[in-house]
Amino acid sequence: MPEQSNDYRVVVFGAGGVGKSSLVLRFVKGTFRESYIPTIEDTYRQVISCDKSICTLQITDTTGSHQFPAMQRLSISKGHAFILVYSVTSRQSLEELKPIYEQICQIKGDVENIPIMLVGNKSDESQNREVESSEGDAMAKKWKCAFMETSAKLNHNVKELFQELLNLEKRRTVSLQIDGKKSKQQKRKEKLKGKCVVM
Amino acid sequence: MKPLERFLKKQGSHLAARAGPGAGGPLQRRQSVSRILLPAFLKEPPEQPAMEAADGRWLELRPPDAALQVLLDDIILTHSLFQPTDRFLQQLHHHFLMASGSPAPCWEEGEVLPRKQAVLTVLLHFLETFKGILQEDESAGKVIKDLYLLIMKDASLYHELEDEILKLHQLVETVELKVTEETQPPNKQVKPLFRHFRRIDSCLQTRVAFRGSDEIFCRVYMPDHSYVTIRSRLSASVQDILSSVTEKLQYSEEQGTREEALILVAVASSGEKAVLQPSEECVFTTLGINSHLFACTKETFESLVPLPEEIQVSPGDTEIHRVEAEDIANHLTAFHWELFRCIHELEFVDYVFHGERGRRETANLELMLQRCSEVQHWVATEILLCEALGKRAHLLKKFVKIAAICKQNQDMLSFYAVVIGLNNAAVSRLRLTWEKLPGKFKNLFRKFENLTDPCRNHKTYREVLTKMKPPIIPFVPLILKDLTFLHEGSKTLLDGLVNIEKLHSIAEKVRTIRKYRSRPLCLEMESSPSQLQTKAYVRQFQVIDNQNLLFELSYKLEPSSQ
Ligand SMILES: Nc1nc2c(ncn2[C@@H]2O[C@H](COP(=O)(O)OP(=O)(O)OP(=O)(O)O)[C@@H](O)[C@H]2O)c(=O)[nH]1
Ligand SMILES: [Mg+2]
Repeated sequence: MPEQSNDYRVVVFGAGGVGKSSLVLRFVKGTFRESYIPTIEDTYRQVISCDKSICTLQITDTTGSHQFPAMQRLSISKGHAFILVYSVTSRQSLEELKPIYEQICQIKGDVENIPIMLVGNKSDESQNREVESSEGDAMAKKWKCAFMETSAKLNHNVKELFQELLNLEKRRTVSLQIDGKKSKQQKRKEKLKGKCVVM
Repeated sequence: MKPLERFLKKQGSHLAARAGPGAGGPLQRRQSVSRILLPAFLKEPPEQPAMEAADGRWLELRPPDAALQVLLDDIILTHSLFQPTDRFLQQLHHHFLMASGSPAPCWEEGEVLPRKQAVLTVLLHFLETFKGILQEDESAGKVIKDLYLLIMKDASLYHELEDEILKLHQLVETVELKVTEETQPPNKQVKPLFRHFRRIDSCLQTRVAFRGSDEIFCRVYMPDHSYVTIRSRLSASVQDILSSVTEKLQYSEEQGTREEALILVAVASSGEKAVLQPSEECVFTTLGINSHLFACTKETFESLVPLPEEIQVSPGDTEIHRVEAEDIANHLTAFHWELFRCIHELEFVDYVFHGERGRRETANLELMLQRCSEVQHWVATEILLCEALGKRAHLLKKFVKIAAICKQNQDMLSFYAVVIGLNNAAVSRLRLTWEKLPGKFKNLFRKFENLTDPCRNHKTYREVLTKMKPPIIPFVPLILKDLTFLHEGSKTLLDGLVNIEKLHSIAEKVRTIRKYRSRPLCLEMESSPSQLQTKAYVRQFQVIDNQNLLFELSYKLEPSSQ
């Protein structure tokens, strides 16, 4: 039996300890904690409304260690949208996103049509900041993706992050439609814009 | 009742007689063997009055040394029936200490060395039998280490023991006892137990045995099919698993304490649920093929539904249609030989008798059983996913051929599994398909059915098996059935004495397994890319294990004729 095609799959990538799990859990459960448990791979499911009907949002929280290249490839090929997280307190963590971004390009091909959000987390740690927000912005421009700074700890921009990501999809599904003519596509684009909201 | 103590006390001089200084001639030894052995170990069970006599004869028939060797092997293999391993070793330790006490409290001067040698002989046999699995038993490891140090201290005093001590030294080294003082080996690799964590390259590697201390990754699902992956020891208890899950999920510390306790449930693809008890250990290898672990509260238990069926093959487009029967059969045999070899002989004993005494892991045996069931379902799945009648009949023929080649390979496990798979009610009801099978293959399959017929206690199969020479892969479930039968057929203890006859028959069964594996299996297989692809396919079947679903597919292919 084929997998439920109704699922919308978001995958979160980034180096170890940048706060991927913290962002996901803040979003899914509304909680945060100081202690650190490294992730292997977790997936959370949420019901969202999507173009008047219901579908499941699947958020896959991946490992920051590079132990499982095969699992990483699999999540990229199954994913519909991607969140690339670094910590503003570590320039290294931004560097580490490059190979992941490149792999997404390689597996997905046409990345311009895939929702990708570059995220600088731990924006609350102003004292230890290593990466300026302008640098994140520049990288996002280069990668032709969206950008945001967040704090899982202070619950800053977390919900916005996911909403924004889904909005990106709404704009682009339309252009991804294989059938239908251009005019029709454009109409749908208007129609669909902003319809995918988190319940 | 202290059987080991008795054994050592009575046998001390005889186990050592080979090298002992004042050892008598063979005749003298034989006499004392039968004199001492019988009262110590054999108790005439009321329902079998002939046993003592029969056993006496058994001793007469063999040279005493060999008989003792067998007896020793019997006891080492089966001691866990009446005594936990660490207790067994403690007694051994105790005896050595007693022999060292100078002067020995109850023994004459000349008896000290033979007694020590007896302890050494038992210890050596023990180490040789247990080998790698000793690493899992910390308390046993500790006793062995202590005993080893004691013996080493003595080494200079008793030159006669030199050979044994050298051997002991080597064995202890190869066993690499893990004792608490020593540091744990740093980051041991996590072994891929579950399919989602298996990588193509690792599935192509030769299987090595799983041990309880191995770390594995495991997904635990929530009622809404969210999941977390935890890292766990293979031997972890349900309680340990649940606390890892709770730790991950209760992300906010303060809030956590108020949350309701979780229970762990195994949910099969059919929807069948089994609640696992908190104290249960090593649950991973006992799961059904497409079963998953769920963590939920008592309230949400009812609402648990199985994960959607994983299999996603376009009908008639799997590897099986591309590959020759011979290649599939050979890869099956090669893989099953690997799995069979990973099973420690004590796992057979422990599997049947666990629950009576402290439990050792039987993971490798469980994986073999799981695989056996997987192969059965694979056969049914492949046939039932093949929509075109002609193609399906062709596939049926291929499976009969595969069974034939497995049998030729003396891989009776694959042979049995394929035949059982073809006999699955959802497959055997496909009248149109079976009609299209060529007569020659129909006859062949009839023969196979006859061979696997359980009537007269699997007489036909047993006859075929006795004619085979090692290497053999037996149909493992039948061995377990036999062991269970032996276990339930007689008591282990009779009036406080150990029923040595029972131990012996169990040990005999284990020695059969030893014999099956006494010669290596060599199949000639090239490593071309296409062969590797077949190998990978054979090692990671995707199957439907939900019988209702198999029936559904079957009725879709060939609806009932009125
Ligand atoms: N100050 C601050 N700390 C944070 C923030 N987000 C996460 N942390 C902390 O950073 C540490 C790592 O967070 P995780 O969310 O576990 O990191 P991860 O990216 O999931 O790490 P891996 O799973 O190993 O890849 C934890 O101790 C968190 O408490 C944040 O926004 N601000
Ligand atoms: Mg994480």
